[in-house]
Amino acid sequence: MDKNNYPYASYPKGFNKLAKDILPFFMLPMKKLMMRLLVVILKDG
Amino acid sequence: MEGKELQAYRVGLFRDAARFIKNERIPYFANVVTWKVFDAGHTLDEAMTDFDVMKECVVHFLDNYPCDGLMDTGIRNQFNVTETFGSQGYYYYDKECVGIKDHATCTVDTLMDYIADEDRYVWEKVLPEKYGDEWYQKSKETWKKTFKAYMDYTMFIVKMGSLTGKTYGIPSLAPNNPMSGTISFAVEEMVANLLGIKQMSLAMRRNPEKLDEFIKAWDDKKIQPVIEKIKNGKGPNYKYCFDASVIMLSHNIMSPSQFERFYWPHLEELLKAYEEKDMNIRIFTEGSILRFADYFKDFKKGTLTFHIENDDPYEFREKLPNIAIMGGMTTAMMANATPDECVKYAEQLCNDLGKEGGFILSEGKMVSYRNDAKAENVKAVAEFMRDYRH
Repeated sequence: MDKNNYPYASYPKGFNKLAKDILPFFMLPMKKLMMRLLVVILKDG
Repeated sequence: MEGKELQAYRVGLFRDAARFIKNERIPYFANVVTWKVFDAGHTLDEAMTDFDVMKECVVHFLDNYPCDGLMDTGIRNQFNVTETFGSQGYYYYDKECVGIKDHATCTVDTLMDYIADEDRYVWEKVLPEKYGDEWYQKSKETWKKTFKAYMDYTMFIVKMGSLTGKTYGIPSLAPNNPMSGTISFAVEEMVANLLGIKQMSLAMRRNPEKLDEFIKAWDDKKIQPVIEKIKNGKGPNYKYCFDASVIMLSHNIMSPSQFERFYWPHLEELLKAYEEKDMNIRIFTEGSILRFADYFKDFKKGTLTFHIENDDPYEFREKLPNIAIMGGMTTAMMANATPDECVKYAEQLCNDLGKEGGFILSEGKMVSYRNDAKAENVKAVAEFMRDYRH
């Protein structure tokens, strides 16, 4: 896959889709926060 | 004393020292990071990939070396997350060391794109560039496992905080809620992540106006809200040894005029906000800060505590008598001297610098490598500080 057909490529649409696909149901109200913290680790780590 | 009572007692020690209030005891803050892994009989690759091993290393350290504060409770190792994700990152480790490759997520021309919409910029530009074609191959399953690894890491942080607090009475150094972020100045983020040392050095000379623009935008977005919160808040929070803990590193690559232009105005405003509220802030001044001593000399005595690295504590006290010192013990001494010599020097530091408060014993450098210290020296100093009274 590449940028054009990867379902999670875009922000915010792809990012939100990924959050819905991987977060437990009860975390969805905090999806932006939870995903942001994960992104920091992947970005800086 | 144990648990919360011991934590509160230790917070009192740190606060008194920061405020130049005499206390029967001077606290010892163990600036010990990965050295504890070796001392526990493990190697870094074992500890970095196994939370139980890392916990064992932290427990071994706290069982053997009495301290009032600890730099790292084993949580600086999110390798489980990046390794589950399955792609090479900037951090690397082997049996003996952990390192980070120099990197830059922006250029001086894209800094404003970054700050305009950080989340989008990171998601659509930074991460795909970092991971290349692998980024677009990460399946939902990989992402699920990575998120689980991240939750495991988060739970480990919580567990270690609870263990070190409840069982060993170690207080938290300063508020460090990852949900609200730590305080970081634009210049520090540029050196550490956005531009790297080389690009930052060049940009300060070739593109100062672009840096000005970015630093102002960063300040408006990240620092001003903190200042507002301080001004509207209730002042000191005695759950913590300090009300804030900040790292200063980038000043080491700045000339005086660059420090005056890019760093000082924003740093000064934040420090003054803490000063007005009688709060205590600890600044880990990596490298040397004494070139810029004049900037700090008028702050109210007791507001600032500098954790010094390369600066001599006696020279520091002479130039900045209004600022409490955290530090004093060198890794050179901890690694090469005898226990008696280390204890004698610790006692000298306490007597010369701490009799009226204003001093917290610590190692200047983060004790990281196997040969950074001898176990018998760490033990001798820790036990001396535990028992020493004026």
